Amino acid sequence: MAVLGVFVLAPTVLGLALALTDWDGSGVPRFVGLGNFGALLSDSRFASAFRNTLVFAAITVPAQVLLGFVLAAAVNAPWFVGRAAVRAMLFIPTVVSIIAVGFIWRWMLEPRTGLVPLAFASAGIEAPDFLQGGSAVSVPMIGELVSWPMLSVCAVQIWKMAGFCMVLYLAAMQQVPESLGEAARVDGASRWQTLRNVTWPAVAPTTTFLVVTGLIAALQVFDLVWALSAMSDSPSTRVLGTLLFREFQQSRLGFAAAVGVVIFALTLALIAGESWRARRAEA
Amino acid sequence: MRSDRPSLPWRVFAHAVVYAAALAAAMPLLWMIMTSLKADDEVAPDRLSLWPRAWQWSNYAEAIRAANLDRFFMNSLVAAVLTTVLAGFYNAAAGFALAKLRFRGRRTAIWLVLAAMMLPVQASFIVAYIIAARLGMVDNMQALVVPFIASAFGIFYMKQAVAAVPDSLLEAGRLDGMTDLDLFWHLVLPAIWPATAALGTLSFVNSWNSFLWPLVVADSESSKTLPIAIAELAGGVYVQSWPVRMAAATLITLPLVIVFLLFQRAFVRGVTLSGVKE
Amino acid sequence: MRRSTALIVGVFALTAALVLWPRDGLVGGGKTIWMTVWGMPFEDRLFRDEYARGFERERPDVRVEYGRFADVRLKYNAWHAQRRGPEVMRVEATWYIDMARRGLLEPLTPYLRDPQRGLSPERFEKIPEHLRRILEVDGEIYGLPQDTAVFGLLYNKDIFDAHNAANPDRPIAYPSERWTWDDFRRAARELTVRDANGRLERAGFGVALWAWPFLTLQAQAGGAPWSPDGLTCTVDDEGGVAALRLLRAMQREDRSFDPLLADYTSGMGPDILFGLGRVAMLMDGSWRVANIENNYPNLRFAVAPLPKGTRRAVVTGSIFWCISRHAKHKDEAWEMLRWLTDDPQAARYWDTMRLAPPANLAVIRGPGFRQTGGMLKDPADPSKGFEVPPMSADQFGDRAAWIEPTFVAGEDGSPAPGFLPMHELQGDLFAELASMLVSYLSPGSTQSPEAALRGVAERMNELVDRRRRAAGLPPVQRGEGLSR
Repeated sequence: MAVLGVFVLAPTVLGLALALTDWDGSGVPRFVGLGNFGALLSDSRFASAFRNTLVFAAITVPAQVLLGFVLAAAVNAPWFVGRAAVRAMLFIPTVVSIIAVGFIWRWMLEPRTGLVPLAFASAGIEAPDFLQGGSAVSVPMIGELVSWPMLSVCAVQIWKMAGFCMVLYLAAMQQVPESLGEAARVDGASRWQTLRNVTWPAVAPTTTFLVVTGLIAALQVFDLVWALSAMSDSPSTRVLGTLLFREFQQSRLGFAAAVGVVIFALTLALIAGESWRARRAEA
Repeated sequence: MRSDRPSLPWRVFAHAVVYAAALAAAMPLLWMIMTSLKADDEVAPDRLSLWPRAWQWSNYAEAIRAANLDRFFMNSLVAAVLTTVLAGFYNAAAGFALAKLRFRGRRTAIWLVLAAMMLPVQASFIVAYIIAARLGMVDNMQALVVPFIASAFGIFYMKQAVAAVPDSLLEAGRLDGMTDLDLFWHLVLPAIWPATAALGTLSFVNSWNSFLWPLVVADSESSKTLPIAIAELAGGVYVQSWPVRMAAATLITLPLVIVFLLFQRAFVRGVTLSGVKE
Repeated sequence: MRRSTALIVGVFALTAALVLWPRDGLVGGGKTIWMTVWGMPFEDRLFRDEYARGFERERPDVRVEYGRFADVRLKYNAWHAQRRGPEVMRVEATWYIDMARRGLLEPLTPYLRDPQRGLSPERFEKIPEHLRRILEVDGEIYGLPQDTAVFGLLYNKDIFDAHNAANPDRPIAYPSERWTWDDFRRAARELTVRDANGRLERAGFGVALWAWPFLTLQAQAGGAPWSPDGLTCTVDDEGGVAALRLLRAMQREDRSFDPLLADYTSGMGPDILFGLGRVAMLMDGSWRVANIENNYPNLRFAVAPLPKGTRRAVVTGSIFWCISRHAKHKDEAWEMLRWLTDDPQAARYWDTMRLAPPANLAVIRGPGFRQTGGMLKDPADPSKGFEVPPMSADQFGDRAAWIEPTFVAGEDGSPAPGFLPMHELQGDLFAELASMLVSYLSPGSTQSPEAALRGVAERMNELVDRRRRAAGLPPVQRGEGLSR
C-alpha cells in the first residue's frame, strides 16, 4: 500500500494540482486557476484528440468484447476440435510487446510492401493510406468521423485484445453448468436463444469486468498509438494520451496535467454510466 | 448429448470462422518471423514471398549487435522476475488484508484502490519520476521494480480471489491459534495460488513490455531494457532494415510466448477464479 | 521460528535490500564531471572512448562520467525539475532557445570573454557565420555549436548516364548549385519512369515529408517561417505558398514525385528507394551519405548543393555543447567544451562518423575534411566491416565537396546560403509542418496551399499567445492577411 501511495496516489493528487499551474519544470509553479482548461478548449488539437479518443473507445471496446464472446462460445462447444491450439493462437497477440506490435503492423500496413495493402490490391481495390495522411472514412449522415490511420490503430487494438476477452469468457463459460443450457434446449429454445438468454446473462460479470477495464485502457491509450505512429505525434491518430505526452515532452507540465484531468473525468463518467447500466440490467 | 450437436455444415462453418480468426491473429507474427529471416533485398515490393529464399540468421546477430541487446536482456529479465515475485506476494497480502481483515479505513482503502485503477498513468508519471529520483531510484534496478511491486489492478484482483476463500476455513485456522501471517501463508496463499500465478504471468508480461516508465527513469546503459533498446533501431539516423527490425521484434516477443505457453494453465485457472466472481 | 514467519521475513528482507541497496549516484564526489549524449550504441566509440577518455588524459585530476540516453531531452527536463544537470550536455538546436529561456543552461558569456580561458576572436570566427548569429538568446550565449548538418541533393549517376546515352538529343547534366527550380523540375520529370499501367517504376525525385524541405524551399522563394521579432509565424507568406505549389506540381502535373513514399520510418522511405535505384534524386541531409554508402555499396551516386529558387538557401541543423545551470564543476565543464570544439576533436567527429560537418570552418577547409578513416564495426576484428565507411580522397568530389559552398557568400555578394531558423517553438513548428505536408500532399487532398499554411501559422500563433498570457503579456496584435 505504501508503494501504491508513493508511486500512484501521491503523484496523481500532485498531478491534479499541477493542472492548475503553469509549471514548466523549473522554479515555483504559479497558480493559474482554470487557465489551462481554457487554453485546452481553445486548442485546435484538443478537439480532434478528444474525438479520436472517444471513437477509439467506442469502436474497440464493443468489438473486442463481442468478438471475444462469439469466439469463446464457438470454442466452448463440446464438439469443437482443437480448442487449446486456437486459444493459444488467439491469445498470443495479447502478450506481444508494444514495440514489436508497432514494428509488425507498420510493416503489415506499409503502402507498397505491406500484406494488407497488397491484399487490397490483389482484390482490385485501391487501398487507402493506412499509416499516415488525412484520408478519412466517410460515414453516411455523420460525415468524416475517423481517419484511416486511426481505424488502423483500432483494428490493431482489437487484434491484440480479442484473444484476451475470449480467454476470460471461455473461463467464465466453463463455470456455467451445462445443465442450464440443456434445460433451455429441452424447453425448445433455439441455439441462438440459448446463447442470448442463458449464456450471455450467465457471463455478465465477465462482460462488466471486460467493459470497465477495456474502457479504462482505451481512454488512456498511449503506447499503441505512439508505436504505430512511429514514435511521434501524428495529427491523424492524435488521442488524449499522445497529446498529453507531447505536451509533457515540451515541458508544458501544467497543460499536460490538465489533459490528464480530462482523461480521468472521462473515465469516471463512462464507468459511472456503465455501472449504472449494469445495475439496471441486473434489476 | 449426441442429439444436441448442431448440423454438420453449421459445425464446419463455425470451425472455419474460428480458425480464420486464429490464423488472422497469428499471421502478423508469422510474417514477422519470416521477414526476420530474409535478406534486405527480398523485402522490395516486387519480390515478396512468404518463405525467405535464403535463411538469413545473421539478421539476429546484427540486431543484437546494433542495439546491444545481449546487454539489456539481463536487465529486462531480472526486472521482470523480481517484479513478478514481489508483486505476487504484496498484491496477495494487500488483497488478503482488504478482503478478510477488519481494520479502520478499510472501505476508504478499497475506494482508493478502485480510484487508482482509473487514473491515467501519464497524468502522474512526472511527479512519480521526481519522487523516484528523490529516493534515488533512477537508472537502476530499483527504478524498474519497486514502483510495480503493488498495483491497483493487482490488489483489486487479489481481493476478489481472496474473497472466494471461505471464512470458515480462516475461522478454523484462528481457533488453532494461527496469526494473520500464518493464515495468509498456510491457508490463503495455497487457496488462491492459481490467481497468484495468473497475476504473476500478467506482471511478468507488463514488466517485460513496459515502455514509457523505463524510457523516463531508466534509459542509460546500466538499466536500459529491451523495448527501449529496440525502439532505437527504428529511430535516429541509422534506421535498420526491416529484416533486422523484425529479428529484434522476434527476440523480444519469443520469451513471452514461451512464458505464456508454459503458464497457460495457471493463467486460465486464475482467471476462472477471479474474473468471473466480480 | 516457524517456517511461514521465516519465509515472510525473507520476502521483506529481499524488498528491504532492494529498496535500500546502495545506489551509485550519477554525480560522484571530487572532480567528476558528467557528460550526456544521445545516439546509437556505436557512437559511444567517439563520445565515450575518445572524448570522455581523451579529456581525462588532458586533465588527469578530472573523471568524466559518460551517459548516452534514448530520449535525452526528457531526461534534461526531468533532472532540471529536481535541480540536477550534467556538466557537459549535448543539445539539439531545436531545443536550444526553449531550454535557455527556461533556465536549464548556464550562460557562457563570462567564460567566453575571459582573457585567459575564453575563446579568441580567431577561434570564434571558425564557427560558420549563420551559427554565430543564432547563438545569442536574449543577449546571452548558452552553447558552442558542435556540428552543422546540411541539406543537399543526392543523385544516382547511373540513371543520369543511362538517360543521356539513350537521349543524346536532350541530355541532362548532373545537378549543380547553378540549377534553378525549372532545371530541377525538368530533370525530375525526364528521369521518371512508369510502367504500362501507369504505376511509378522510378520517381525522378524523392524527399521525406518533414520541416526541412519546406523551410528550404520557402527560403529559396524569399520567405521565412517567423517574423523578425519572432512573434508571428509567417509560414503562410508568398515563399511558403510557392514551396507548396512546387511540391504539388511535381506530384500532380509532372508526376515525378510520390509523397506516399516519403516516410523515413516506413522502411520503404525515399532513402531506401534511392538506394534501390528507384528514385533518381533525393533531397536529404549530410548524415545520409555514409549511411547509403554502407547499405548500398554498389550504388554510383554523388551529392550536389541544392538548386536555387529566386535565391540560394540551404537549411542546416546544429547540435550544441552546453553546460547545465545545475552543474557542480562549471569551470571544468567550460574547459571541456572548449576542448571539444577545438580543431583536433572537431576533426575527429567528421573523420569517424561523417554525419555532419563540424561547426568549424578551419576543419571544413582543412585536409582532414577531404578524406576520412570511418569507423569499424568491431575494432578488434576489421573483417566484420565498417559501421561508417571511410571516404578516400578521390571520393571527396562526389560525396563531400558539396558541403563547403553552404558557408560561402556568392560571387555577386549575396550571403552564404546556409541558414538555421531558430525559435522557442521550433519543435512544435516542425511537428506541425510535417503533418501539414502529409495531409496537403495526400492523393485526394483539395486543400489550397494558402489554407494549409494558414492552419499551421494560426496554430503557432496560438502557442505564442499562450506563452505570452502565461508571462502576463497581452496577445500579439497581428495584422490582416498574416493570419486570422
